Formats: sequence, structure tokens, C-alpha cells
Amino acid sequence: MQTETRIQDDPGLASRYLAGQLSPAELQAYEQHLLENPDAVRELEATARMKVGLASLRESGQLEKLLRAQPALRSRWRALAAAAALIVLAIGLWRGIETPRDSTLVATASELMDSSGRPLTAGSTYALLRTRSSAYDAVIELPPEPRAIELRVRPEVAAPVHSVALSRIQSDGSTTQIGNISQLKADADGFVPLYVDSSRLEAGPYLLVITPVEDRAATSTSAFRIRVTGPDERQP
Amino acid sequence: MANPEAHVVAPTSAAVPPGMDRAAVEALIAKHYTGLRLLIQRRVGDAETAADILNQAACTAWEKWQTGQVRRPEEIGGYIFQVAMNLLRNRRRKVAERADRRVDSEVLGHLPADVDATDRWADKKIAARVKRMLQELNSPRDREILARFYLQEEDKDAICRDLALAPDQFDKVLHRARLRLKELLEAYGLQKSDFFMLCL
Repeated sequence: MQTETRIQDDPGLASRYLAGQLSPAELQAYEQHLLENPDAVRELEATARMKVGLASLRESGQLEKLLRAQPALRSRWRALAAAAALIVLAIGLWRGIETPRDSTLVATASELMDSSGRPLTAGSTYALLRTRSSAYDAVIELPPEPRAIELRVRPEVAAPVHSVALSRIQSDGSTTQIGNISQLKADADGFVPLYVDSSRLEAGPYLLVITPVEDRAATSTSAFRIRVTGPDERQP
Repeated sequence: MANPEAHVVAPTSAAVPPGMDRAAVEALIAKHYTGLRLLIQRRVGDAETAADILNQAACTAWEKWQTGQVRRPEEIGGYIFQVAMNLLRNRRRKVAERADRRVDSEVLGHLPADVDATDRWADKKIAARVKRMLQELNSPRDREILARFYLQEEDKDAICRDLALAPDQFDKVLHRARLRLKELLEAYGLQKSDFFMLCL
């Protein structure tokens, strides 16, 4: 039982097994563990893929760059968020007025129309709040037909009124704004609701920036990473 | 090929349907143990020898299934790994005993030249997901830990000493990285039902 517990608690055992580094006693215990635990086999297979993937990256010359990479992704996202916020601010200041509203982002679903002028059917609702554990704060699945997708955004700085800009992140890391809206009121629970026309989105990464209208300092701005997936990427 | 992604997804289930034949075991390896297959190819540096090792693993696993030594069908994956790794160890021992053919792990980590296009494709897909996992790691130290431990196969204690890490910290880095890689591998994974259809 003690050996079994030790095996389960050792995340490096699979790698050492594949490297042929286990002692005969460890080897025997681990192989017995494999036969009795299908989860351990899956773990072992994932470890094999880690080794293969790292070796492949080394061969292609990418590993060195990845190991040296500074700043890491989250820092780059912060930089992108700050850049996008600055763009929103700059446009607002240049025009001397609130950023004009377009029809990509709206405050109520009934404002979104289809090509024949009828209100769009309501689609799914997605909550956007800061998450620490994954690359994206939300993953939006594109519906087969145009829908009014509700986004409920939880800004990191509470305020009664907010403006929101949604930008597509291009493959070179630059952003292209596809919609913006101002004068969005926060609900009692702190979430700011808005709607997006799904037909204006395509699969790929996006950045949503939310800024309090009365406090446009960069430190008050919250940025959320969104991944939009097409129907072909959806899980069966 | 019905679904090329099947070659790079993490196994969703190691279960095999009753009455499976040898071909189904081979399909199980091809579809769900891509990492094992590619790793063996890299280690032996010869696609034919790698194929022999995997065929032997499939054969032994199937025999154990036929003779009832496998109590539950989901145990078959354990036998596949056990047999394959045993054969690999034996081969490495023989190579090591021949001074003229002694090679270091750096050399063994390279793909054989005659690996087929499907395997190259699978290799690239896996690399893309490992790359993304590395990109998502904030700390250069964590990325270094993964490369030294998984790729260079350095000893955990030596890495911890070098980087002034507690063993618990080291384990956490490995745990988080593997969890994220698993998520990325499963993002395009087959569902259990698809797997059974492939084996039927």
C-alpha cells in the first residue's frame, strides 16, 4: 500500500520509466501499477507525448527560443490589453466624443437584426471573468446560424458604466477592432451584459477590453482573452 | 484515414471491446498510443525495428487477452507498454554492450529518416501542443525544468539542487504542465463512442 501511494504521488515516475531509469524494485512495482490502473497508462502515454513533442521542438530549432522566451504569454496578453486600451482611449480622445457604437456589440439582444431585418434569435450566454488556470477566459462556440450571443463580463474594477471593445488578434499578434460599445450599465451582481452578433465572429483568438467610462486609466481596464471555435472544432 | 486527429489525441479510454482480434490491438496502438510509438521510433532510430517492437507488443497483449490473463479489457494498455518497454530495454542493453555502436541519448532522441508521413504529421501535431503548453508557462524556470527532466532526462534531485527548488515545487511544475498538455491533447480528442467504432 505504501509503494502504491508513493507511485501515485510521484509525477516523475512515468518519465523515469520511459527513460529506463527505474531500479528493478521500482520497475516491478510500477509495471504492476500500470496493469491495475488504466489511468496510469494514460498518464504514461501523455508523458511519452511530452517527450516526443519536446524532442521534435528541439529538432526544429524552436525549443531554444521557447526556453528563452520573455515575456511569457500572460505578460504578452497584458501588453496587448494595455495596447488595445490605449487605442480605445486614443480614438475617444481624438474624436472628443464617446466612441460611436456599431452593430457588432449591442446592449440588448433585440438590437441585433438578421439580413431580412428580423431580430436575431437568442444564442448561448458566456460569462467572462478573470481565470488564472487556462489560456483563455472563455471559449465561444460559433452556432451554425447567426445568433445573438450574450456576454456577461465581470470587470476587475467595479463601476456603474463601462465601454467595451472587441478585437480580433491576428497571427502576428496585432489586434483589429471589430466592435465597440459605450454606456453599458453593470448589473447588481457586478456583471456587465452585452450581446454580439455571431455572424461577425470567425474562429480564432479575440481580446475584449472593458473600461469604466468615468475612469479611463489603463489600470482600471480589464482585458479578457476569448477563443472562438468554429463548428468543425466542436467536440462530438 | 477517417480522422487523422485520432493519431494525436490522448487516449480517451483504454477499453477494448470483447472478441477483439489482433488487428484491433494494432489499431489500439496506432490510434491511442501514438506517443509510445513515436518515442520508440526515436529511441531505436530505425522504423523497421520500432515496428517489430510494437508488433511484438500487440501480439503479446493479444495473447494475454486470448488466454484470459487480462482480467479487465482496460488492462490491455498496461501490457502494451510493459512489453514494448521491455523489448526496448533489451535492445538498448545490446547496443550498449557493443562499443562500436554506443550512442548517447542525444542521438537516440532523433527521428529515423525513413519514418512515414503519417508519423511525421502526428509528431508535428504533438509538438504544436507541447509548444503551446510551453508558451503558456509564465516562468522560464518552469520551462527549463520540463526540458531538463523530460527531454534531457536529468535527475530530479540534480535539477532541484541547481535551481534551488524544493521537491514539492518541482512536482507541482510537472503536475501543472502535464495537466495542461492533457487538456490540449484532449481538446481535439475522440469520444469513447468513436473509439469503439474504430475497433469494430
